[in-house]
Formats: sequence, structure tokens, C-alpha cells
Amino acid sequence: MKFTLNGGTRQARDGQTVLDAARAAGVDIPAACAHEALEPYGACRLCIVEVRERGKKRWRVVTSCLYPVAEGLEVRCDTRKIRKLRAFLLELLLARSPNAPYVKELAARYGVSKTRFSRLDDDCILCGLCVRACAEVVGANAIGFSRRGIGRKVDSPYGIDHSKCIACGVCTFVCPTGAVQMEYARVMELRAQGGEHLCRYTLMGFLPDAVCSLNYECARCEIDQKYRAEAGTHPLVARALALKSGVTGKGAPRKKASRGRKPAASRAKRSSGRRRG
Amino acid sequence: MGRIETIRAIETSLESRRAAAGFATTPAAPDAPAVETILDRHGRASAQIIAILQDLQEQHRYLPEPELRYISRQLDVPMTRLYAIATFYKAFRLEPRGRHEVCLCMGTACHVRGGERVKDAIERSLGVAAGETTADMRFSFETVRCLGCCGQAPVMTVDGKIYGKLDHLTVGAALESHT
Ligand code: SF4
Ligand code: SF4
Ligand code: FES
Ligand code: FES
Repeated sequence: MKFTLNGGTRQARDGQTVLDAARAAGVDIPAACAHEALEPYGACRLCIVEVRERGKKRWRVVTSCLYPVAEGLEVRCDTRKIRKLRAFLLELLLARSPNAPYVKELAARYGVSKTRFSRLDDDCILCGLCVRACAEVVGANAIGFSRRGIGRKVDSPYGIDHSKCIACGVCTFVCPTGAVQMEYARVMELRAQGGEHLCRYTLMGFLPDAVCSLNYECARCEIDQKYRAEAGTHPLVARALALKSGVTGKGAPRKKASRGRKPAASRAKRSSGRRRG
Repeated sequence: MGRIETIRAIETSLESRRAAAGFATTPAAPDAPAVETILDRHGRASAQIIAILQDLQEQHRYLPEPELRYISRQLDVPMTRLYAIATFYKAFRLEPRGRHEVCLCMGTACHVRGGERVKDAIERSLGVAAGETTADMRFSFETVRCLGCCGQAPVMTVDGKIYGKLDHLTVGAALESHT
């Protein structure tokens, strides 16, 4: 189908979001809470664009990561209004995480270097990537959000229950700021416990029945290096992407998430929007 | 059980996690039949989770951990989700409540008429701060903003019963009448 992007006519696939279509066309839109292996979420609002539907007069500001492309849709990515709104959002982010390199770089890229709001110094930007990756990619549901408003944070049940965490490290891998501590906490717990532990690649379902011989010092481990190198990204993310691109059409039933297995993707393919690795 | 299964069991047990985190206790067993009644009342639907938690809270006046874990298993809703809901809404509590709910008004009228001194008196007599529960589980103490009867300021309620025109001397007697 055809749509208009910054004045030029472009092609898009059915079911693509505006963000994906724009990125496929080589147009850069910042998107802090979008990840190609995860369902769109709409938390950071940085990906805003102006759209006008066919036959409509009014331009509207929408989040491009959630907005589906439609025939004849007009999209403007870089208007004064958008730049102004985005700069405001970046100022807020900068006030929350003034010391996170990711936030500083992102803000600088869009011309924001200082903030008028009082600073918080929390590296977590509440993008929810870790929480959603743990649920959607890993199927473990070990971390979630707790509380609300300024108290909102990434947490495990009762703040201490890590019993669902398999120390796979996907949360650490997808976190843009390095804020999430769950994998570290779990690994420390396993080391403190002593005794024998299953290799995390066994818990992830890659390696049958292996027992860790290195006291969970994965950085020194051949198995870890091998799987990471083979995948070129986190192996579970690679598996999730492969599963996702294997799904055809919309509305495929979402399978129940089970430990170490990737739930079948339910929405249309998302092919662009790479973040890391 | 084989070696691998044994390790797996240890690793995924909440007990070992609690021990590692410095918690000595294991969660008690839930009152399964009571929870079942609640679940059935809401068609065992995970979409009804808030209504289910409300009923559970009505029964215990807080959300006990064993019951939450039981619900999590039965409805296949992750504990992270239940914990998120329970900490998001102010109406839900994860700590047990005392037998009597003391609500002291800190609204404008009550503030002007000495609410702060009454608050000090209550905290001294109960030995807990606002938001806490006494060790003997007799009282839970909260402050609120305007109970809607400013004419009687300063005001507190105990289990919904209104005590008006309080001062630091009369508040003690009002509390004593609730055993
Ligand atoms: S390390 Fe634990 S919390 Fe992080 S994604 Fe894996 S299972 Fe979830
Ligand atoms: S810990 Fe990282 S990934 Fe998780 S919400 Fe915070 S910034 Fe996002
Ligand atoms: S709202 Fe975060 S990427 Fe769209
Ligand atoms: S201010 Fe206390 S009842 Fe209104």
C-alpha cells in the first residue's frame, strides 16, 4: 500500500506500524521503548509523528510505534511541533536519568542538553523493555513493575522473590541504560547459595541437562561465548526473532508463555527497529 | 529424583530464595476453599483479577501472600502481575491490618483546629506512626484529607465511628473503648 512520508510517496506492508515503515524507508525516528522482538508498548512517547488520515483535514500527533499505516495516510516526522514536544519529553527523561549515557546521547542527538526540572538520578527510564522481554521472549515473568507515579520501579514480587528468574540475562541485554539488576542479583544469589546449579543455557532450553562448572561466571565460560557468538545477539532474542518472522498473517493465537520457551508472536511482523546487537 | 531434577527443584524453590534473601519463614498454606469460592464467583477469569483481589482483601483486610500465590497458580497469572496490581492501587494492602482502623483527618479545618497535636497524641499512645499497625494487631493508624464533617474538627474515625472535637486529652479515651 502507498502512504506519504514527509511529502514523498512510500510503500508499506499491510499491518506495518508507521515507525517500521518509516525506518524501512530510511527515516530516523527515536524510539526508546520499541524493540523488534517485542510487542509495541507506547511508553516513552519519543516516537511521535504527525499524521493525517485520507479525507481528513486535521493533523494529529500519534505514537508511530503503535500507529498502523493505512492507504493514503500522510505522515510528517520532523515538524516544529514534533521537535518541540520531543524536546520536552527528552528534558523530562534527562531530569529522571541525568547520568545515563544512553539518555544523554539521545537528548543531545535531538538538541537537548539541559533540563529545567529537578533531577532524580535514576537510570531506569521505565521503558518496560526488560519486563516485556522477560515475559514475551523468555516467558519467565520474573520481573514486573511495582507501585506507581514517581514510586514506579522494576521489581520482583515482594522485592525478593527471584524464584522465576533463570538468570538468562535478556533483561540486561535489552536495557538501554544498564539499570536493570535482576540478572546480577540472581547470579549473586546462586553463588552465595553454593552447591550445584544448572547451566543457564539449560534453563533457556538450548543445552540439555548441563551443570555449571564455573560458579556462574558466565563471562569466562565457553558455552556462553559460543551461544552469543553464534547468535550475534542474545540467543533468546535471536530465537524470538526467528519465531516472529516465521509467523504469517495477523491474529495468530498467542501461545501460553512457558519457561524457557518463546510464546508465538501474535501480531504482524516487525522487522526494523533494531536497538542493539 | 535424578541429579538434574534435584538441582532444578532447589533452584526454583521460593524457600531457598527466601533463605538467601534473609527471610527465615516459609509462606503458610493458603485457605484454598475460601479462595476457590472467590474464584468461582468471578468465573475463574483472569480478566476479573481486580474484583478477585478486592474480595480477597475484604475477607482478610489485606492480601495474604499464600493466597496470592494460590491465585497466581490457579488462574495462571504471574506473581509479578499480581504484585504490580497490589502495589499500584492504594486500596490494596500487602501487610496485615489491625482489628480497628483509626483514620485521623488532616484536612484544612482539622489542621487549623489542632489536628497535628491529636496526631502526636495518637502516635504516642499507640506507639506507631501513621500508615502502621500496632504490634498487638489492635489498631491500624492512617491519616486522611477531610472526612467531610469539618464542623466537628478535629475529627477521627475508628472503624467508621466518628469522634469529633478531639484534643490530645480526649483522644486516648476514644481509642481505649476499642478493644
Ligand atoms: S535474567 Fe531473569 S529477570 Fe532477566 S529476563 Fe532472564 S529470567 Fe527474566
Ligand atoms: S530497567 Fe532498563 S529496560 Fe527496564 S524499564 Fe528500566 S530502563 Fe527500561
Ligand atoms: S512510545 Fe516508545 S517507541 Fe513509541
Ligand atoms: S478537614 Fe477534617 S473533616 Fe474536613
